[in-house]
Amino acid sequence: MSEHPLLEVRGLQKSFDVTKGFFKKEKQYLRAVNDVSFTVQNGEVLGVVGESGCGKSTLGNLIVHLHEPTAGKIVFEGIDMSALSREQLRRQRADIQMIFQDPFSSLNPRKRVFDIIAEPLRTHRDLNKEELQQEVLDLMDLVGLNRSFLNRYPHEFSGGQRQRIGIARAIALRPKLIICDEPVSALDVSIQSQILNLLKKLQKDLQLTYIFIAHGLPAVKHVSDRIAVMYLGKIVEWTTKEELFTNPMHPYTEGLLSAIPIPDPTKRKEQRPLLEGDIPNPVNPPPGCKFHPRCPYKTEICMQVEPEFTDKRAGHFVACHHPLGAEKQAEKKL
Amino acid sequence: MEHALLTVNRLKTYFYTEAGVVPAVDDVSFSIQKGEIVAIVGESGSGKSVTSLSVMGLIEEPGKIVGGEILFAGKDLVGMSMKKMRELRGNQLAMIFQEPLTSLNPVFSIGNQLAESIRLHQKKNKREARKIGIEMLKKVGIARPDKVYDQHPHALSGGMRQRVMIAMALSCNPQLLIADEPTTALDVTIQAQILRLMKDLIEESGTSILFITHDLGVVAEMADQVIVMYGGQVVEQADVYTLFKEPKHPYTKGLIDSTPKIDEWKEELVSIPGTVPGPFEFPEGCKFADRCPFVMDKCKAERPTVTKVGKGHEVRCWLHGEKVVDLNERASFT
Ligand SMILES: Nc1ncnc2c1ncn2[C@@H]1O[C@H](COP(=O)(O)OP(=O)(O)OP(=O)(O)O)[C@@H](O)[C@H]1O
Ligand SMILES: Nc1ncnc2c1ncn2[C@@H]1O[C@H](COP(=O)(O)OP(=O)(O)OP(=O)(O)O)[C@@H](O)[C@H]1O
Ligand code: SF4
Ligand SMILES: [Mg+2]
Ligand SMILES: [Mg+2]
Repeated sequence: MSEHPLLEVRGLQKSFDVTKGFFKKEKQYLRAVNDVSFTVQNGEVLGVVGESGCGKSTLGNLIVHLHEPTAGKIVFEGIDMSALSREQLRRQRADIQMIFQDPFSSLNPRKRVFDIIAEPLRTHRDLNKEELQQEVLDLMDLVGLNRSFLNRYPHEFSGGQRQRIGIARAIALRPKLIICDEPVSALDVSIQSQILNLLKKLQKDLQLTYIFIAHGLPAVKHVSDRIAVMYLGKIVEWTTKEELFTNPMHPYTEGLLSAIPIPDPTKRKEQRPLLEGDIPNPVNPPPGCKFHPRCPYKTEICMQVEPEFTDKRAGHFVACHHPLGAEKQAEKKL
Repeated sequence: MEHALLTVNRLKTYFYTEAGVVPAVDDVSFSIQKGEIVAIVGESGSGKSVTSLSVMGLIEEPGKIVGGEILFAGKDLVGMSMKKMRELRGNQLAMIFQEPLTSLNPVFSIGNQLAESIRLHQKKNKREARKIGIEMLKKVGIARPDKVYDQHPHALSGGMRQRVMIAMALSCNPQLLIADEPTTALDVTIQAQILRLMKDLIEESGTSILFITHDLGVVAEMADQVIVMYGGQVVEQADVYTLFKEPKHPYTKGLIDSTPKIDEWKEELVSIPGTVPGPFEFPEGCKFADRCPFVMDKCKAERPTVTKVGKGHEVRCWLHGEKVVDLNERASFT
């Protein structure tokens, strides 16, 4: 076993220049990912949740080198990625794959299923015709696609089946890390759980590592070991999923949990407190804690000082001046 | 018994496409009482939107209502003149959509559009309309309504736009509001706000709502009555408590079981096998037969008729004949 985690992200930042007009002297930047740090161990699934625009996809894109970071570093298997040569990067690209939200636009409509799944194998591995065919068929079995679909085109498939094609392509090279960016959001409810079950089974059987991105907690709950909650470009809470669901410490996480509609009419939330307000404009984020305008627990300090992201209890990281249940947990320690 | 506000009776809306006839709404019956929230739930393509557009008189070529009646306050809307329909839409009937941007004009300010709708229905001058408009924006929970009144739609967040749409829809004091997935595009914390707002507003006004969604969690939070659609047909309808407690259609049962529950920890999620068939791929007999764990020979041969299984509880399934079967006691989806 190696010493270092599979992935280590330190102080990662990505700013987009969103200055409008030519003559504006003052540049405006949007910090889509703002000083994010975390680690992912081999064979682990990290769920990343947060509402629209909080920077989840930008984070995923940074890790697969679709974006250059503005600051900070990404260390993969102990090696700083910014120090890699082109050839090394090319090889590493085979180790990190991506599954996208929209199975409709992420597959080339002019290619047959066989060619779509075979593409990464052709680029990165030296297989003869028979081996290639066999490998593709094995992959189709693995993701539950009927072998007879081999020569069909993507448009002939339903969303769920297309997502299976995307998954087969992503696991073809047995990558060390797969970024799943909202892989089930576009699917019908009855199909979502099929795909979630498939992703979890593959992860177990092939000992894959995922970063699993989703809007809401319900979607990441099943597959994740650990969950990171993002708000306005920052990770505000990071812990095991059991801990997050039973002991949320960040007020935003609490708000996210209480906003989830419960599929049981006898448990209506008529009386439950709801988070108020909207997500602020990311170009002009509020000072202090970025969540303070919506936070029911805010005090003076929250409006002025940005809380640090620290370990509040045995690997439960929170960025909040008044983490929930902190007293309760202090009592437990005594 | 008092007359229902809306009674849809054996409605059939078909689309005559080049590829063939799509029975998008295929023998659908239900009714809505005054002040009631009725939810239609079902997966993509099940006919939810076409049902609501039929009620609104907004079906366009190549679609056509080919059978049934839509009784609204005693009058049949099927075959009503365009002019009368338009009058009705501006007054007693209102609709909001998933993406408010499609129904807001980007060129005009919020106030401009709101005032137009107010002046159309109430004889007010410009200044009075502005006052009422700002009042309404305040009522739908918009902070600084006088500022928002003069803004353009693109300057608002998705949640704010949906609030504006609700204000506009309610500005004519409709008897029936049709809401087609009004929160699907919103973040979960904003969705919770909008759902609560809608409930509060109609409690005051006594407006009935036909609420379309694919999320059973939202159904459980909002609805009095539930209509479950599959393949253009109502497969089950009941009051919300009965539906969740004793679902009688295997599809309803599958949907309920596969909806993620935040307080449930499972190795594997329950899922409905197969995929939703395309418009021309439904089986001959029961449309759900090829995905149903209870399927019998009769199901494959003959389309099920509607069976009454309890007070106000109807189901389209051959399982329930002289004896009503308890699906909760049967091993079903895994
Ligand atoms: N190329 C870009 N140029 C300018 N701004 C960008 C760019 N890409 C993303 N952003 C902005 O960065 C922020 C984070 O975007 P990102 O797509 O990472 O969010 P997300 O969490 O994935 O959201 P969603 O849930 O909607 O997918 C947003 O405010 C977005 O508008
Ligand atoms: N203009 C049209 N021309 C041809 N077919 C149509 C048209 N509009 C709808 N349909 C068909 O009618 C069926 C029902 O569509 P509808 O839009 O009512 O589904 P829905 O339940 O609202 O789905 P979603 O959840 O995706 O909104 C679908 O098979 C669709 O393809
Ligand atoms: S009628 Fe038969 S096939 Fe259809 S849902 Fe009921 S049991 Fe299943
Ligand atoms: Mg994204
Ligand atoms: Mg629809």
